[in-house]
Amino acid sequence: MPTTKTYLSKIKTALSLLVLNIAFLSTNVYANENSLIIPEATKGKTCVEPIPEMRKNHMEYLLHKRDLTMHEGQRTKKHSLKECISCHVKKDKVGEYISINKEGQFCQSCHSYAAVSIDCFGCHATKPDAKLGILNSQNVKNKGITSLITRLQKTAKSTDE
Amino acid sequence: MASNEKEGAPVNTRREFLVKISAAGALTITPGLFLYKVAEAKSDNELASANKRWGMLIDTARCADGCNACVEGCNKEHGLTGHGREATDAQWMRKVTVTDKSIGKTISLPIMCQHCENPPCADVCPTGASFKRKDNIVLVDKHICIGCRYCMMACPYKARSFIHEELSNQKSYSPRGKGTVESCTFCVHRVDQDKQPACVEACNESGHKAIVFGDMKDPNSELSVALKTSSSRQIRADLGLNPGVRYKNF
Repeated sequence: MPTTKTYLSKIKTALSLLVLNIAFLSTNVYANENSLIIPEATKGKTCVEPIPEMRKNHMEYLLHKRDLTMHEGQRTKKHSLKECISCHVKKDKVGEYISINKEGQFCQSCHSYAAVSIDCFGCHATKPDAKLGILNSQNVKNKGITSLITRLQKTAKSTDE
Repeated sequence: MASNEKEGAPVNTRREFLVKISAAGALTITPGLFLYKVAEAKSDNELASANKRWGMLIDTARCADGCNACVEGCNKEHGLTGHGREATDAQWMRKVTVTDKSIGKTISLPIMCQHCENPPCADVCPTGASFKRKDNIVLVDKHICIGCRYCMMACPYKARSFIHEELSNQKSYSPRGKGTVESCTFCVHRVDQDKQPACVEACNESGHKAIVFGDMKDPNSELSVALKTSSSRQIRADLGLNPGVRYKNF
């Protein structure tokens, strides 16, 4: 027959194990939170909508805009996936764009943290078009050839770096 | 206008004055409106309009046998690359050679989505993914395409392709992916920026200038004038689909 003392010691070890476990779990969660590093946007700190709103509902904005563009032909940049990418995409050391769905990049970092797969990039480009993008952009069309030349020079410089 | 106001009867009442002022305003606005109409630039937030119908006239007499410039232009624009498997590789535009054996005359012409007014692809689509935009450009909404390929069977022009394999490095303006059907978009991304489709540009660059693209509903467009002044025909006109692509000398 076990004595009260042995019962007590058993409860003690169980409790200490539990405490250790909790401590271990909490540090685990803490470590995960620390590992979520979302790269900053390249074009300033304000998004098209308040950031908490974008975190929660960006897919709704994208869905709405997608239908407007696809079916009605609206081509504004606000809330378009293309513009999300052009603002959040990063360049590597050679100056080439890194795909937005690569590990650690803007879309992927958060989506892998939340364990939600992204369906966009089976079809959509994961980075802006390197040269055609410049020629096609609305800005160039409006501002004419001088703006085109300056922009081409800029990209030439950035690729040189 | 200002001189007219001075010469006219002196302004007696506040009411008369306002009427005259508004008339002068209307007159000065008119030249501005006229300019806008000539430029016809579609702004980014403007939606596709039912007042337009995009179409094409292909002159088979100018289209050279053996020239593949339009197809290459299309492939380059949309990043269409094959796996060397002709039966299943994506093909938005193809060159067809037709020979009349009794005369021995050969005609070469490109065939792609004919952008029908009554598109059978959209009729049979079970999800609404195949649809016609208000300006009569027939498109596939790949977000809702389930890849059933009914549209491919319904199209009498064999204009559509199914994507069997995963793709990468798509163009940002031309999203394409595995498990969906696709076809010529009339380069809708270019049309929305008042530019010509890639095949037309490529054909012009090759020097043949066989394709005229434009708005069929605008009586003064190059296309409307060309359609009016020459005889053209639709492929399989008997089906009553009223395609937007017409052929001349065919």
